[in-house]
Amino acid sequence: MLERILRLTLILAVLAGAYIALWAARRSVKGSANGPPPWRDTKVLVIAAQVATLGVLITVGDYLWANFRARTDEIGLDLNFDFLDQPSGISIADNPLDPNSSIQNALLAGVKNTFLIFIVGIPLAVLLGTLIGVARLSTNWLLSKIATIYVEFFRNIPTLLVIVFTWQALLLGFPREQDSWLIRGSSTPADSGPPALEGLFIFNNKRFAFPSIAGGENFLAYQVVFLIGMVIAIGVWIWRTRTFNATGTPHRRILWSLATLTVIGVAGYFALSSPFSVSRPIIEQRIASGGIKMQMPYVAVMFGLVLYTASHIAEIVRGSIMSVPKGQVEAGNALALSGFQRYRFVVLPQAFRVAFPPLINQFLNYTKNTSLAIAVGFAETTGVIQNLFGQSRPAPQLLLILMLIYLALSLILSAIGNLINRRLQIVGR
Amino acid sequence: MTIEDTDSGVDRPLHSDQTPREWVQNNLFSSALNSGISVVSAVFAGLVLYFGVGWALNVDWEIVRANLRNFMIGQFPKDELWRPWAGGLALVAGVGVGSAGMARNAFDDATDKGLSTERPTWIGLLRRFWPILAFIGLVLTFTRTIQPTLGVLAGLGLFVAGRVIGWNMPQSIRRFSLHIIGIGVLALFTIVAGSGGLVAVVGGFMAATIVSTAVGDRLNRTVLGGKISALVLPAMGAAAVWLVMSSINSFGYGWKEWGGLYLTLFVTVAGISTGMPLGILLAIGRRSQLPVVKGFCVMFIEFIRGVPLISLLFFSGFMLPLLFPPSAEIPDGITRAMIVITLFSAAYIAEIVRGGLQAVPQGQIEAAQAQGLSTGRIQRLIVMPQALRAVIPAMVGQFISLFKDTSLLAIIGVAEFLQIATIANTQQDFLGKGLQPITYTFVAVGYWAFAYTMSKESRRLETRLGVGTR
Amino acid sequence: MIRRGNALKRTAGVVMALGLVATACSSSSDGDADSNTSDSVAAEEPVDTEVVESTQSEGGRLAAVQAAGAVECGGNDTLPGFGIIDADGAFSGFDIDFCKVVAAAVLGDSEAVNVTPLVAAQRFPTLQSGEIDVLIRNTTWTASRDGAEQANFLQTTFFDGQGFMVRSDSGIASLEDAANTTICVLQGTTTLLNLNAVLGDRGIPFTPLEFESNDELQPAFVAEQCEVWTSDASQLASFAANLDIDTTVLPDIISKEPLGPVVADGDTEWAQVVNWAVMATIQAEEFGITSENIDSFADSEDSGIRRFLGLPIEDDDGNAVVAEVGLGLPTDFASNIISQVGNYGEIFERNLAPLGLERGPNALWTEGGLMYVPPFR
Repeated sequence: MLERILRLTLILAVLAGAYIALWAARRSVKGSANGPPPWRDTKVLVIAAQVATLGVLITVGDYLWANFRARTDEIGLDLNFDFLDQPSGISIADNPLDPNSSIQNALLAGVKNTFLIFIVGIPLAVLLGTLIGVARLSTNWLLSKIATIYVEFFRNIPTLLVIVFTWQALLLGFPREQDSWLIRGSSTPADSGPPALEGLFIFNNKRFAFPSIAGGENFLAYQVVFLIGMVIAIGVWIWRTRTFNATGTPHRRILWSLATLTVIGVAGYFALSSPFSVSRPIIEQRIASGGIKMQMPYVAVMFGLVLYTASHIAEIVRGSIMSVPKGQVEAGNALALSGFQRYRFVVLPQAFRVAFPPLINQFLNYTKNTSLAIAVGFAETTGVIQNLFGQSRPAPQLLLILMLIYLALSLILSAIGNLINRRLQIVGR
Repeated sequence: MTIEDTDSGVDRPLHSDQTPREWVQNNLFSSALNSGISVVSAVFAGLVLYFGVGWALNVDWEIVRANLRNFMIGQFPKDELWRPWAGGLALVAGVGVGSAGMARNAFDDATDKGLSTERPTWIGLLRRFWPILAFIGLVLTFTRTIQPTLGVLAGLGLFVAGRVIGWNMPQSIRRFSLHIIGIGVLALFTIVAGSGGLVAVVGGFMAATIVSTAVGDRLNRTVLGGKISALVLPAMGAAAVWLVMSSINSFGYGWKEWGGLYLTLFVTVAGISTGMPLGILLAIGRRSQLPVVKGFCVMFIEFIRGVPLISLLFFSGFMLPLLFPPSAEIPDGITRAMIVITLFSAAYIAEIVRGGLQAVPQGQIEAAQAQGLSTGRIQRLIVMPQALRAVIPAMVGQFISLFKDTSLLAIIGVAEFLQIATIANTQQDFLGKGLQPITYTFVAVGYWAFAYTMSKESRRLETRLGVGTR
Repeated sequence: MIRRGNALKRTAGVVMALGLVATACSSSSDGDADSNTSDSVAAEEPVDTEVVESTQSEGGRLAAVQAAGAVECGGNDTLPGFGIIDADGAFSGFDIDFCKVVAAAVLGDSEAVNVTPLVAAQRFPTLQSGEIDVLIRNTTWTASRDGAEQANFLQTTFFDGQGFMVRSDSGIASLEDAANTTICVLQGTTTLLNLNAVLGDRGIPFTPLEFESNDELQPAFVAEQCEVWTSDASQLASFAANLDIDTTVLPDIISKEPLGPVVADGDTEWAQVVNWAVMATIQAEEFGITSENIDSFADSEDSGIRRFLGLPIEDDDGNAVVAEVGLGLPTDFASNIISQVGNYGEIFERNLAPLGLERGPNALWTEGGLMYVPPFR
């Protein structure tokens, strides 16, 4: 290390000396009044500072890299990514991942699971957070106190504990598979093994099952009809907005579009003679089929993170609503807007603009907190990587992959957030 | 007569002008919807309280009682326990004196400016710190001997005495209140873990600032004297302290056996204090005009902020040992985790400070330039004080966040507060008995007590400093 | 002033300077990167009838440990019976006791040991980097670990295998019955790998549920979130003895898990020191020597025992000599081990018998088990 520092200092000194010599030579040729000497000339100093910084950074980086190479050579660690093609030996619950497929596939399955937690949880967290934030500002003393206690409780305990507590509550609150709670369903005892269950909804401590849509014969045609219906609904939306802009009659565009979509959907259903049916979940001999299944660890992680993040979002919402000037609220009252209208048209749009950047920050935190899921049995990206660590796969490469995945998610999310933020700021002042 | 509402810092009348019946009417049952909400909420809250308290009182807390030392201080050897106690008392005394000194300074400042302010009261302190005191009381109910209680009482006594002394100190000593707190922290660390390395450096730095401030008044009248007081004397003071502390390095015990709540608190405090200078440098670098410096700072900050702390802890466990030269001795797991936590805090603090720097009006810098101050002086005397003052609440938020995030250290095998719950559940006496809810609840209460107090303090500071009301 | 020209010159200057700096800095012969592996040769001492001082090697880990005065041992802090932290804050367990065995052998003091708790993934990196001297953390001996991980496995101290545990009333009597069940797995070791390999070969589908710690796994099993719990058979037995519910361990053992101490490749002297220290405990049990009765062997007529304990043996001329095997250990290392820690049977009784574990394959070879060590000659 000393050697490198000396070498760096020598190089920098030589460069500086060369430049000063050059400047001195030029000055003696051209005469005086040429500006300040190099050691006081800001233009030169700026470049010199950057060269020096870069030199230091490169030296330090090279030193660390040399150590790294020396140590990995000593222990015989390969620094390539060939291990990604080897069979992973990992299987994930409710996921068709083949344990004999490559590690790459296992990682992709993990990323898909991270995405699942994220995509369902964030809207829920925003919804719950907004409700609690508004509840904190309610005039009902009991409600606001309970909301305050909720926020102060969940904000001040570690995320891991929130997830574990949620999971324990779900584990103990829901029955085992044989005694599942069935909604509009039945349980038939089998000759051997657990009873066969089927129903519209099935809840137990292994999984939550919901009904879904199973395509029939004309399903493709129906999907086309539905797509056309959506396009028409968008057209209706635009038409109603134009009418509103031209004449001022209330557009009620949501109602109109939804109504159009429903009419076309129902008409298509009857015209095409049962293009789809409701697929009810069935659990037979422990195999779950039909419907949509969510494994309980997934629900626990998602719900735990929703509860935790909602407490932060509630504070943000509350702060943003309080930041709306009182004059706006009073003007709304003067215009005889109802409470709901006041919130909907005056307060929330302005509050949203203020709340948006911290909200993006909370979404980023949510994404990073999903890395705790393996604690309660849900294998997402970090869980898969930890499994690979345990199999003694090369650690530096795995670590790099892990960091890059989360970095990509964070950067994409903040890029989208910044885009939306900029659009929000254009409107108005 | 007014009292201070510790939630919002706003004075409100002690007696409301509504009768209790009117209050209930207006707040709980003002409309049909409101009444419905009130009833549902009351039932919900009642059920939660009933089952929660019933469970807590009926369950057997023996696992916590048996492992209390593990929870509080990890594997620290029994016969060295006097160290944490002595260090803790030193810290409490230092904090008492220092905080009272700072409060008195603020009070005098406000009185001189003619602003209305009240003296801090014991009741006020109690209201602010009741969760921590309650948690300490809860822990004391689990102890089996009288000594911890005596120790806590001694600590309380020292704190009270310190407050009284600090409030009444002469101004010449009172202006070093923050340094007194720092001395308390250093004393704690020295007594427990020895005084080498980082501690000696920090101690030297503090000695330097004390010397420079104390002597500076007299010397700063001349330019030469100013340079001496700014450079020579602090350097001498720092070197002296560093020499002394390095020589008594073997006095301490070392931190390999630290664990439990003690380690959690220490990692948090150390992480923030070592991360703060680095974070401020990163923030300034990020705002710099030089592309190289700015580019590096941006990349560093965005990288650290974009990855979860778990991955950084994995880095400290698996990659960091590989970055040391092959013949060097690799520091132990906790030290490596501290390095990574320092970098982590630095990145987040950099973002916070950057916000503060942006909040300083450009006019301040222009006025300072018009006065002929150099860039360094402008940063040190004009920009930084305003910027840092504005971000103190956010800084406390970061402190709380780091405090909670230390629970992740279990991933790399460090026995901090949450991991002790797992360790307790593996012991033979408690294996397989399903006592996890008990230990986890105890850990949750511990975290909550400290984090809630800190977040209330942060909000109080926010109101006091008037952040966001300009 | 011609801005363009100056800007061009400035850029050229910067690029040139950066280039010079970069090439100068990165083209470096790594002066600091010298390898540290040094094979020290074990001192060869003829086994004759002279009293010989125990030799200390010049370099290598044995000398380093003797100089440091403590053995750095990698262990576990959350594995019932093998490595835990008890209520007093001290490490205790089967593997921890063997750490103490090594310390007693090399340094004469079984308490001169520093245990570093490790998570599974840290085991080999920590061993390779030299942070720990020996890894005794329920580590399975496999070919790839001997090879790719540059580890050197020593005498197996515990023969284990991956097994399955179910509730007695679940109706699952064999692995075939466990088709489509949810199986709880602890993360960090090769358990899931073995599960997929074996059940995949047998064509038994299952749903894995991978937990980070037993703190969540055990409630999940008790609440029947998973029907089957798979782990090392010793772990299953220890939990089975303590759970409130009735459990059955299935007869299927799907893998061989020989657990033992591990040292890093390349230091034969240190490996042999640790190996013979560990094997001494088994030999002691074979001789019948325990920590209680070791003093009674001071007058033993058996020369094998006397050699083992480092007691002087009278030759024909009446001279009493102490045999020296030249491992680098003190001659009475076995006595130290047995008197301070105990023999294999005592270590087993102390740590694993309370969990309800039987000796099984871990009994002495004279009693039908697999514990057979080479003679101390």
